[in-house]
Amino acid sequence: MRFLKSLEILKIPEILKTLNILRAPDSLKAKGMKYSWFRNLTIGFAFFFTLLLFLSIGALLFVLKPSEILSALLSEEMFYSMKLSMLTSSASTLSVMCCSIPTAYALSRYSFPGKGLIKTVLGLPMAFPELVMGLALLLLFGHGFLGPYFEALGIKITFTRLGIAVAQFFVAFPFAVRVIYSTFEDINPRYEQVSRSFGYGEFETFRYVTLPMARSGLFASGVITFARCIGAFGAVLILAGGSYMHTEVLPVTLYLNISYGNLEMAITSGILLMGIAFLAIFSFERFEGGRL
Amino acid sequence: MRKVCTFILIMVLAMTLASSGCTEKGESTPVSGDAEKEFEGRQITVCSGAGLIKPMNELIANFETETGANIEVRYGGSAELFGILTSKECDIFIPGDYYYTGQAMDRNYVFNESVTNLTLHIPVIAVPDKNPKNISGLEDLANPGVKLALGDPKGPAIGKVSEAICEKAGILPEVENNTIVRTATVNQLLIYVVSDEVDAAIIWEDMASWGEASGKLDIIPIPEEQNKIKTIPTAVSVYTRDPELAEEFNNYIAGEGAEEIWEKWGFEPCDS
Amino acid sequence: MSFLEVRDLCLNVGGFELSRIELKAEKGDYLALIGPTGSGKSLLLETIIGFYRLEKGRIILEEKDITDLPPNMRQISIVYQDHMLFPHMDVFENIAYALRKKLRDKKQIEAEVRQIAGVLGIGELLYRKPATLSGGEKQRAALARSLVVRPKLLLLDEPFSALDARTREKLREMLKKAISEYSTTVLHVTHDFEDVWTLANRVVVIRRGEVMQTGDPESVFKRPSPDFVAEFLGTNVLKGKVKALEGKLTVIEAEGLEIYSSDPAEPGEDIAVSIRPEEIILARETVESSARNILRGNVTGVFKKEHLVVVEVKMGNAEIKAVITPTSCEMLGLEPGRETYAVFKASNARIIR
Repeated sequence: MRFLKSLEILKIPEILKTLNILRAPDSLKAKGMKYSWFRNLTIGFAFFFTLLLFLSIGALLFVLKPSEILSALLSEEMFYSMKLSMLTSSASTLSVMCCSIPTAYALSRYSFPGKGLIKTVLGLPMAFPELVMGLALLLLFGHGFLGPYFEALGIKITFTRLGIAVAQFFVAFPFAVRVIYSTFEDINPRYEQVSRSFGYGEFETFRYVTLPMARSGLFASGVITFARCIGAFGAVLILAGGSYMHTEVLPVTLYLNISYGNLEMAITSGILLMGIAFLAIFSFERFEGGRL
Repeated sequence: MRKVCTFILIMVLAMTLASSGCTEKGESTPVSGDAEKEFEGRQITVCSGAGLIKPMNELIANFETETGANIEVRYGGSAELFGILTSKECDIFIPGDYYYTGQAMDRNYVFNESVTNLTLHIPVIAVPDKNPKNISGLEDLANPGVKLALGDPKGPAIGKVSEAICEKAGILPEVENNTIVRTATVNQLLIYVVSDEVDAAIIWEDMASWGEASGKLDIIPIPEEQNKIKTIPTAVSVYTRDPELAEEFNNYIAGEGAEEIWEKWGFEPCDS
Repeated sequence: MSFLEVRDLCLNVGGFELSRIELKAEKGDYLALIGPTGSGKSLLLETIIGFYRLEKGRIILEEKDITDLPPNMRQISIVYQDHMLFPHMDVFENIAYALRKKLRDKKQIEAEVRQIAGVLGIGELLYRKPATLSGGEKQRAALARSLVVRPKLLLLDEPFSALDARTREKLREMLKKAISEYSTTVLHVTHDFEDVWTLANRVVVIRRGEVMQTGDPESVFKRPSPDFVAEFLGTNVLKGKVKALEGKLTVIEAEGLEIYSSDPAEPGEDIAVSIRPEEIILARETVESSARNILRGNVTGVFKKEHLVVVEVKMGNAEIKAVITPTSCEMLGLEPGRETYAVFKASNARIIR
């Protein structure tokens, strides 16, 4: 009897719970209930459309022979665009994180005039197409407006690699702010108040309490931002021109090669982008527990 | 049991979806109406160069009202359209340049006898309104400090053509030096000229004429002896499922009735 | 001048409002702040600690005006109901974090942490993460973190309300011991009457952002002044009219009952009577006693509440609560529908105006 009791204790995987694996234990969900038509219908939907999506991804993967993919991968153009993609996305992700953390913190913790406006403006790019964003950036950083001032400083943005990073920045920034904002919202401000009461200033509190508590959310938003930067296309194409082997990043490679009629290259860059997206979502789910 | 249920459900779902697709198609073709229209309920797909979008839309609308046929149209870059042609998804092939039709003829993708030239496609130099770098002719594109936007030689028809023009004029190295952006579509070139980002671009006259009309850019013609004037041909694909209708449409857009529409949108008919 | 003085404090934050709050505490006082939910008690604590800017009024601590000081300069600590232990630090780190601004020496910090851990009995838990602790353990760690800095003022915002009765009792004792060792002044917001009884030496009653009553627990408990206080403290309140005066006693007609009270009143006056549940004796039949009030009624409900039994009795138009021990409940055989007599002294029937 006593032996059985000790087994009971073993059944509760406290440590596993803290490891976040059993975040939503299935045992809590109606188990042993009669399977209703509604249940089957919803599950049917889930399977059917996921299957279609899966097939479309598979189609992309299996339409080419491995040797074709390999030769496309090893081509100079693909190398160039992969390298440039990594470089610009890393730079833009870094700057997006640096700018969106303070922005999101201000939006989450302070009330100030114009806050509602900022939130609305930051929400806009999520609703309108990236091409619009690109056109808007071209007009802003082009000759009509800010371009001459930057050029006076020796900085060229249009049709340059810097332009790629700038476009990526503006595409990803609103998303990053939103994810980090919700991370900060999830942290009770009383933690910070307690820290303040022990003599820590606002910045020290942010550094020692808020940031460490937000780290998984920050990591997740970093991953999402990176994926968004790599995948940014419309804005990059318009602002940086999308010139062959000059401002060519992965999505541009896909686009250029469609217009060249070179399907092998186009599909291979598609596969690469898909792989990056998969890795990003996988690590996002892993670290944020699927809290989208 | 559970698995079987789910499987059956998925099958049912799939079937409803498929059948609903069918009925939708059936409904979209008007069965009633006057039976006099020749091609009522028949359908073909036209692949047309993106630069032809304005006249092509009008021509298709007119053709549809006259014959009752349903014309699907896909606009794109010439090389992209060529890809669609090779995958047999296209009935009428109208690229931005004869070069592609020639390729298609060589590979037996189109009926040789159906190939007809529609209009001339004339490359011109487009400069922003007020012409900031005072460009008066092709040679000025080689001046130091001039910023150019050109089509990608591997992409749109204009890319290949502008490269050939500059080569003929012997200014290719300088021009390439001055080029700050190469694009995969002509429309992108137009954006950069209109927004003042570049000092000049080589684009098709018909496209430039829209911008000129609205006062956003100026056109500098390239003298005929320096220029490479292209023709836009139309052709019927050998894979067409409705050769009769395809033939009819092919003749229609090359016919006399269509000339007026081409001219209206800045294209020069071939025989003039 | 008192050790802590809150003068004419006014504040409005997102619908919650504090108006003209006056509060005084001497060094070593243990003040219990009571009042219904949403009365602004927690807001008052967070204002004192410095998280909200006042619209009006001053806060003075140890002869220093701290109204405009940022929270990190005030030397006030707070413990919330949900502990707010930093999840990314273990218990030791949590407590040491509080000390780091005060002490530089690592050994000294460790000694201080071990000392408070000993007082609050968390010596074994120092190297565990907060997520692995029980509710009572977390709250003890939070108390340790707040006390270790020896704050001038310790604010407690319902620290025990999420715990079960036994843990609460244990924690109260520990808190009492710790406070006497670390000798701080305490402001304790609570809903729990036992907190007031066992810990506080002064009680402040707040309702709708206003101070309604102040005094030692005895006087607030025994002589609830406004209507509300009595209800909050769980006494029976009957509304009625003074019928007549009989010698030194006042005869009151309230909700169909005739009640004798020893408090003075004018005939015809509209008043209310308060009778505390624990001062009512229940009996099976009329008994001869010194108590002036003997009322007959029917039991409508019997509820266990911690180690006592609450019996509800319908008398006249009123429902009266009485608190008795489980043993006497069993002896009397009280169950719904049973006839019973409620007996209480005239001096226990207090007139509230």
